[in-house]
Amino acid sequence: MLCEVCHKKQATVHYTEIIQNKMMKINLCEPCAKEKGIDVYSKFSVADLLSGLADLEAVGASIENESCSQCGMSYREFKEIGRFGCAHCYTTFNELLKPLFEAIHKASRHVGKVPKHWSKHYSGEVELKTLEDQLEKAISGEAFEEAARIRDRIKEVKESKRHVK
Amino acid sequence: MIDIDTMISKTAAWLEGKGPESDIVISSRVRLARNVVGFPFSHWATEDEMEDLLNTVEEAIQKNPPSEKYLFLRFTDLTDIERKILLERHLVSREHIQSKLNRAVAIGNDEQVSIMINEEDHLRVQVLTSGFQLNNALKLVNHVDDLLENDLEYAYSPYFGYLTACPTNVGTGIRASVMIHLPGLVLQRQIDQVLQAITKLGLTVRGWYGEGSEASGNLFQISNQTTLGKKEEEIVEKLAKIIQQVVEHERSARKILVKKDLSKIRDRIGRAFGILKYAHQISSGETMNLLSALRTGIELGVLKGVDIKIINELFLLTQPAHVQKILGKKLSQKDRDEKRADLIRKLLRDESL
Repeated sequence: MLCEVCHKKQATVHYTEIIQNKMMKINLCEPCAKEKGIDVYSKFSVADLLSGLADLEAVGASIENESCSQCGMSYREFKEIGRFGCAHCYTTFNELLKPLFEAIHKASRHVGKVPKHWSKHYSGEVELKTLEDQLEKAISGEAFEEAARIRDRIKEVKESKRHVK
Repeated sequence: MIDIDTMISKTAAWLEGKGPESDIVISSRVRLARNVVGFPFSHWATEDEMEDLLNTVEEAIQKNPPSEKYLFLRFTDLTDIERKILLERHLVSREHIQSKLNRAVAIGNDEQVSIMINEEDHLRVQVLTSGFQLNNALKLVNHVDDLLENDLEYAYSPYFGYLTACPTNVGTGIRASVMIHLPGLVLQRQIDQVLQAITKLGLTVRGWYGEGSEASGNLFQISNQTTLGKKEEEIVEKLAKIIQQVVEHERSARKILVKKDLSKIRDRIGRAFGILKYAHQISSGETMNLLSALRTGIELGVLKGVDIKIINELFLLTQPAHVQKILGKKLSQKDRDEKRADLIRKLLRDESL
């Protein structure tokens, strides 16, 4: 079987992926597969997302000329590579993050594990404030299930705050 | 475990064929993506910065080892073949071995734990276990993560969680997956339907067929897609629930298959066994296909007398880098195919149907 891209070399990579509920099969030679970035764990294209969604593009335009003061990555580079350069990039490109994370994860807040060094000092103030904002928004938008979830979380945070003290 | 030679003389723990539902779920894996404060992410760092990070992490691992004995391998100390062996044993990722500069992996005693250093993120902490045991894998990976944290300060934000190079990993940094063998659903032509349903539920499915015909493998890897907005336990629980359903479907497909087509199945498995036992030249792709058929035979109870451990061992030992390492030299593809056939004949010499 010949590679479906170059039609020259023997296809040795037989790749299957589900895209929009369709099973796609493609047979490639190794160099072509590498070029296409096909890997056991194929990459989600953040670059495509950044230029494909209207509201993301709008935010992107407003920070077009920004670059990170710590690692030097510019917005253009981020857009091209689809990877942040360092932890500080999360501050540099902060405006972009909520819509970007909503697009990828359908969520924009972390609720999982907290590092030990962090939980020792962490008073939960920041989180409480955000949660209260979210709660207000959920109630005014009549998203009551969401509101209930946030209220539970507020309770948890208050609980753990007391625990820390 | 002292070195790579000792390592390949044994089967990896995740291929032992043990654990819950191990006749369908081959292995369970959970990995965490972590970065250390004060260093640029690996893909964006200079060589010196990567070296500094590598030394920092090595020290943290020395002080907090994943198991009493472990192996710390710098890629610059390894040959091309040895790095590929690590990949074939699922201890490193394809991306990780693209370059050898300033990259390393720490491997726990029985190959369950591996810590990749300077992959896309500074650390990828992974636990790979045999059978369907995602919860145990999560517990163990969390434990290793906690240990490392004694000496490493992770990049973290209270809003976004663990900060990762790629936005698709941010938050928990968790990727949980199972490798699952679904010959029943494939032969019954229900597989597309099942996989579609899985993707609708927000999971990612990948088929990884080795070289050779497209019917090969019947192996699928199913994993979570999103990492932000849910707790680690919730993410793993959701995956586990869906996998459990897939397992039930596969089980009933196998039952019907045995009822309907027993003679045809026996024929396929018998032919597969015959080729493996007597061939003198065989590609790794064909080997994968035929081993998958034997595996199906054992799982269905049609093939008796052959130990699943031998099949699993062959899955690993017949991969290209393993064959070359066992023979101690680089081989052309033709030589490899001959040596592979020799190896299989030897291992199956005493097995019969």
